[in-house]
Amino acid sequence: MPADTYSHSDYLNEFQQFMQTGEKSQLDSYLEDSRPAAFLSVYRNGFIRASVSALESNFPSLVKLWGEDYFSQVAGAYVNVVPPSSATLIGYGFDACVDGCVVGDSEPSVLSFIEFLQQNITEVIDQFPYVSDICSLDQAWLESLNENGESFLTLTVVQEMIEQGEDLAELPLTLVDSSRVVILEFDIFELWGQLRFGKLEEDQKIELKSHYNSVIFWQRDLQVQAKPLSAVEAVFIQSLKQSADFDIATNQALATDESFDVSILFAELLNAQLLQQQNKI
Amino acid sequence: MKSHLAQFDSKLSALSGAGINLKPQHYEEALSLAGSSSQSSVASGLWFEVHTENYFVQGGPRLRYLQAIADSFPLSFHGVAGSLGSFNEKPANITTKHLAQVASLVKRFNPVMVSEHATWSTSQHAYFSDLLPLPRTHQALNCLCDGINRYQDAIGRTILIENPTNYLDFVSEMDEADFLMEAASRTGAGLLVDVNNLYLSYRNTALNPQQYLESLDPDKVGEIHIAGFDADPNFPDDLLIDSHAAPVDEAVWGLLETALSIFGPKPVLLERDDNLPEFSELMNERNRAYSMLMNSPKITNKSQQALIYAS
Repeated sequence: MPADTYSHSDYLNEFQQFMQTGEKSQLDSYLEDSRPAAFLSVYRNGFIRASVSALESNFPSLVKLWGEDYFSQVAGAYVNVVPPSSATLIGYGFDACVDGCVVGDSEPSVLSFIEFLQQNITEVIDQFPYVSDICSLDQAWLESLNENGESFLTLTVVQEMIEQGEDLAELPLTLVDSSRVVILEFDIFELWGQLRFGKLEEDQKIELKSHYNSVIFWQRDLQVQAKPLSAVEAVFIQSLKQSADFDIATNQALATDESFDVSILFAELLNAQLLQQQNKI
Repeated sequence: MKSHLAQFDSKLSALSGAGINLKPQHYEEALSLAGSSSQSSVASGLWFEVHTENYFVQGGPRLRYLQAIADSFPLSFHGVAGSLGSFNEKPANITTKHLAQVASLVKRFNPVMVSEHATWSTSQHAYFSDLLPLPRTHQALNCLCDGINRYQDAIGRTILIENPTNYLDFVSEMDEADFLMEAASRTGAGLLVDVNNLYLSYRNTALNPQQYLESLDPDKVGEIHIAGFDADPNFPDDLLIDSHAAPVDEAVWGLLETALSIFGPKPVLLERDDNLPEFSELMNERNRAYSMLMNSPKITNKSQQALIYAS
């Protein structure tokens, strides 16, 4: 292409088309004849390889369940349809709504990896109906690991507050930033742990019951902790996370189970380093 | 857009010695050398570089380890997704968010050096996670300079820009050394010369590495990278890939020696991103680079000679 007809924005648009479709011909006019245009595939292969590798890192339990070959195949298809929309691959493929959506978020919604699987490989999802749960657990674990885990309320601070006459019920308490509550459709937490941390026997038969349940992840001493929640704990914790109000959360929990004792759960949350003071806006 | 930042001058750079790009698998071993860097020959002149985007997190062990490394060794940030060559008048959301995250990390860790690539990787809505080529045209140069200026303004300091690996010849109005020198001159940025990229460009596109190195102003060169490469599986006889998955090739060691003889001593970084070996193996390669660096000639360029004569 003669220099006076070159347009950089056209070049970028046409290269972008090539990266998304693999169609090379529109880039011919930007290439000298010295090397085969087939070499352009180096760039597209590198992009797909890096993106698939990121998905493998983000969904390691699914890789374990399906094996690397099949996972790479479906991950590659996802990359073609939904390339990363952020200039980092941390969190690529994650569902924006795993721990509660923010209504009115200005960011355009991006098809998550699990949504893509549900829409495009329905027969496989029918065979593995718990894949959505596995993806959610992988996501929650990694998000918790990469969050700030240092701003938790300690027993000492609480004791000081009590000594100063503060009413704990009035404090805007919520869960720590690193907490993630995952609502599951299957009784899969134990199996997920075996997949995630490499303790699944090769010939282990997977039989799961459909059963709504919840798990909470959080970071403590730079390591991710996880705990299955009872139904009433799940109600309390979800409510506390949304409202940052102990009274509201307690009332909602009592509506579910009138024998609920908030003082026991409060002590457990405090000991687990799961509570923090909500910053005033 | 003209930068208000001072021109990069390698004579004023605080970075020296030889480093390794650090991966999470090697955090503990790297930190075990802390405290010995000034006394022990094992870690003499040792520093670390990290990919900036790998630390776009809110907290957790990654940031904690990075802080420990920064407290013990000189630290450099090397960006891979700045997409300097695709900068638009109306920056995409991706770019704006990216720059804010880089700026936040630079402010928090105050690295000795910050570098990026003379390539592009993002469009308005997508990040193509690879270092994509720029034609060496005046329009592309203007765009690259805008991207460098915006990046430098965001972090409040000059950066180094790295030469790409060439796999094909794109339309060109100038050669690559002139293209990069012009970008550096206009923006105040310095240069990061990756001699592995240069060697692959020589093998893939017949670029002349000696002539290339001699065309660069040594005062503008702030860092040198070395790395390993692999043959492309589809075109094994014709195409070498910048894989960072193998030990440094002897030909690249030779080109490092040439570069040091032309530029004088410059900080050298060993890059390894894949097929990670034991940390000790990387240290052996790094020590070889450090030894070459220590034995390189001190001053070779005209401006430095002129300074000596003047004093």
